[in-house]
Amino acid sequence: MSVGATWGKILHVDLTTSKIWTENPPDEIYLKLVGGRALEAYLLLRDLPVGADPLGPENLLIFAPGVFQGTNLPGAGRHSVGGKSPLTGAIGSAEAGGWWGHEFKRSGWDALVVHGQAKSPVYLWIHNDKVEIRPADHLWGHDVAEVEDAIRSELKDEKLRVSQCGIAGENLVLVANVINDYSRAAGRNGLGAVMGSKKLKAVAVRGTKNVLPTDRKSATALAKWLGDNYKTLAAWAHDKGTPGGLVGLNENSALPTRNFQDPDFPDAMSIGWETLHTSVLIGRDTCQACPIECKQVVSYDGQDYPDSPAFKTQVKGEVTLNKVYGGPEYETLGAFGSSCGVNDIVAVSKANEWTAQWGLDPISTGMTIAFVMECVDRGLLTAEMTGGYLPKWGSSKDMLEGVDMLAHRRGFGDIMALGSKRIAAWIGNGAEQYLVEVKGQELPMHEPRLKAALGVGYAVAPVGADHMMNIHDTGYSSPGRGLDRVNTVYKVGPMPSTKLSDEKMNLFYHEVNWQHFQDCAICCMFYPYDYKQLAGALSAMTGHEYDAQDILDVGERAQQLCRLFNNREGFTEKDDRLPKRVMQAFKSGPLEGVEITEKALHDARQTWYGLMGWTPEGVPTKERLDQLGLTELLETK
Amino acid sequence: MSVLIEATGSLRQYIPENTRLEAAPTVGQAIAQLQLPPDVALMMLVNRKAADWTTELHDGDVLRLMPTIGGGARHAGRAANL
Repeated sequence: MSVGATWGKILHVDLTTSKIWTENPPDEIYLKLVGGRALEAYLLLRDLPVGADPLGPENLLIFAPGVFQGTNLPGAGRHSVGGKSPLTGAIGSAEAGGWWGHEFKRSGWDALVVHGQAKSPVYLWIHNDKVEIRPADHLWGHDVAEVEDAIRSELKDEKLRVSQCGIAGENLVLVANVINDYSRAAGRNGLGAVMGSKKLKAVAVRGTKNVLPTDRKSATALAKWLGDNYKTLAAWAHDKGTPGGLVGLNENSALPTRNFQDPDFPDAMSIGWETLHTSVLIGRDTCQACPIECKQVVSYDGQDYPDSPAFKTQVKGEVTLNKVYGGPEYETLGAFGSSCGVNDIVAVSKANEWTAQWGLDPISTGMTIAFVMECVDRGLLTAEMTGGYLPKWGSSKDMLEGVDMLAHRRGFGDIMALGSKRIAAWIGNGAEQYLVEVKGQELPMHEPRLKAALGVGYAVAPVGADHMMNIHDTGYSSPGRGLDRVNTVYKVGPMPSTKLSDEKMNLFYHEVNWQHFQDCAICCMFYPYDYKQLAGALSAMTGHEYDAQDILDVGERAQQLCRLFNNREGFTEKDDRLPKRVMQAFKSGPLEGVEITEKALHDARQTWYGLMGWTPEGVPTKERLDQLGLTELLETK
Repeated sequence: MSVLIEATGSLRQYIPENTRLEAAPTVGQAIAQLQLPPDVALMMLVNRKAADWTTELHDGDVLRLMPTIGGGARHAGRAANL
């Protein structure tokens, strides 16, 4: 093998014909794309017919680790899942933490591509070179933990790992996730529905092959550096985790409240780290080879918390929490909490639990319920239209009922399962002005008026509004590691988080390429690695030299391929937009008067298109594709 | 002039209560005087309004600093052997 830490093998399974085959990609695929998102986009461009139905047999469901998986590099306990998104119609590409990706890579495959549609439910059992399609009728309709436990018991292997579509995916809910390791989600884009449409209940994996770096000494040195430094450089993650910043964001009018309407959530403390860690939190969890332990684990059985002054619940005695499904992260706290006006840490944790148990995207689910709450509030939805479901801002029970209805497509939940954009079209009557989505995907819990370039990132992200393949401007408004990292290839000083400029878009260009690279090699973005370190890691793994610019080029290749895919599916510059609501200034609070004008968004988008080598219409040029070596690659069959 | 510095979250360990700076023409210069660890990324408010590195400070202003995400040490770690 000439590319280290890879197997040279992609597994294809057609569920219509039960055919199983192996593809041996040329080295160039690994060297230029590295895996994950770039590989997914390449395979979709190559093998998916233009205009294919995302829920039809033609769509592909791709499970793609990257070069780093299976190597024990800290931060590599992740994998990617891709396909054409049924929510947006654009490319879908989502990453999940946990152990599944590590185990899959150790089974001797670099990716799994699922084609076709089974006649009745099946699951895949991949144990090293052996691949079986097994019946799953007995698993269909069961909760995530039940399915994972049943497969482990049935196959008599305690060490296998399971990725699966939940009940929501079975029900073709367009905001369904693919869940692995009980509580980890390839989140967003509705890929759980693609899995459900294929009647593929699960993919169980067990691998015993060692994925070896070419230069083990260098790779181990990076792991040792991480072990020596994560306590300070990733302190925020292992101390408090993602909920740690919630209250501070609210102080900056940046905690989305009541569907992004309000500049302040008065009960922020009740859903923040301060309450979570003094009430329902019972422990922390982690991913494969990760010492940081950023994940929350909660439990609740009706007890009181006298030492947690901001603790509130409306569901005492009615709800318990199951630690198997982990606990809420910042996105969930915002989506089911402040976005719905809910100040109840137990109810928000329960909603989070159900998203894992049934396989839902917490961001889109919470924001869809918030949108319904607003439409009810404004009289756009009546009891006749919703079968009597009239959720009110701040009601824990209404919020929870919405999650239940949506996952099971019960009553009005059958419409809610399609996401907020389709609900608005169903309502008509001007409801679309209250939408907070891009390309049909609901906004995550980050405020474009505080983080202006992040707003541009929402607009241009190939998957619809996304906060991970994006920049967070506040990380570059004062000196620190964010600026230190980018300064190795582009010199720039602290910049106001609320402003857009050519300089800011240059920063955006580099850092978004970096984020996409980390979704190709696949490394957790919470890790404090810099360009040089991951270039070194990729060199050590593959045995081929990469420098900082080389890995940024990998990230750009992923974006170029995603753009080619989206353009051929009919997306254009006009789809790279922001919802009006988050462009208009708040009338009070820290961000009073801060707006993003259409001109500022247009200019920023054009600057970035230019940096990407695209035409003003957002079309990749042959010159740039040639420079990146993509023209030649796309001609490879 | 005198500018009151308010720290929140993990920044409280570096900035004592009632810290005042007498000569800090801009937010950036004020933060530089506070000698924070180099890896702390900040959100900044001046008199409860969004501010940035170049925002000018005046007598009586309140500069409120928040870490972009909370911090602090908790466990010991161990390097993986690849």
